[in-house]
Amino acid sequence: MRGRPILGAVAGLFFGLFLSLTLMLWGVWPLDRMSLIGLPVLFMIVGLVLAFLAPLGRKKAGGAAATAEEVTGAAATAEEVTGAVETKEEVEKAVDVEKEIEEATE
Amino acid sequence: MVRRLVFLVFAAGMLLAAVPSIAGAGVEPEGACWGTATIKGVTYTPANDTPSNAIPLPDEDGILIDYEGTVDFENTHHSGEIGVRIAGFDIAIADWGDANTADDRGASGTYELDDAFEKIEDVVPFGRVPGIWIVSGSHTASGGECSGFAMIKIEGNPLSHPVGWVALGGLVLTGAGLAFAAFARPGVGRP
Repeated sequence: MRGRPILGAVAGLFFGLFLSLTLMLWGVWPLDRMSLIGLPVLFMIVGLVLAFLAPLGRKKAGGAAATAEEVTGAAATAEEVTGAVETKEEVEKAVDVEKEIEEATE
Repeated sequence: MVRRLVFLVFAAGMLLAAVPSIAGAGVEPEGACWGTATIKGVTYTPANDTPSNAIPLPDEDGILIDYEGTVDFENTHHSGEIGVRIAGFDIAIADWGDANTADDRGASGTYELDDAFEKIEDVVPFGRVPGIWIVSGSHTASGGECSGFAMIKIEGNPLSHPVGWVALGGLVLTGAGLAFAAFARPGVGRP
């Protein structure tokens, strides 16, 4: 799944409900089983299929309009990008060790 | 993955195929009972049972409907009701019944549409909403029974009713949700 399946299913379900209500109001089709049950289930499936295929927002081949997220290849946080969580103390300790090594070599 | 997709499409097709069509049902059993309604000089029958030839109900006060109905079976100890059908469930708006020892098999009269609107507003959620509705009826007597439905179209501008705006707003919002769901999540499953 490249898209958002839960959003697709829920949005599709309610889209079907509102569509059936709209069709009834505008005199196209009454609120029968097909429109009140069939349409929501149908659009729930459509939402899942759309989330599965995710045809929108794909990276174009050689596309120059890539976003920063697309360049990194993931919606990773800063922590994930650096690959480790370094606290201030850990950094300071590493710097101290480095100085000690330099002094020892001198 | 392709199998799942094929299954989903198959399931959707089966669902639509399994839902019975409402067109052309009219009266069951055919010929067991019959009725007509005349509104503003136009006579309607149970044949008005599809969205394209629904019975128009003007959104006006003081409309009178001349009606008549007959049954072709013994009609003593009869009872029946008329309702608005939503998703297969009937919400009763009128009923009748008595011993009818004289076995009268026909009835006629004049009905004030305002009475129907009043009952619809009492019973149906959101009241008198313009649009297309299914009106169903059933009649049972000692000699048999019959049921049927017709479609009515309450005239008026849907956007003059709050439900119309709710439907449109909901359609736009959920449509946007569907479109957003179709956007590929960054970094997931990229080639």
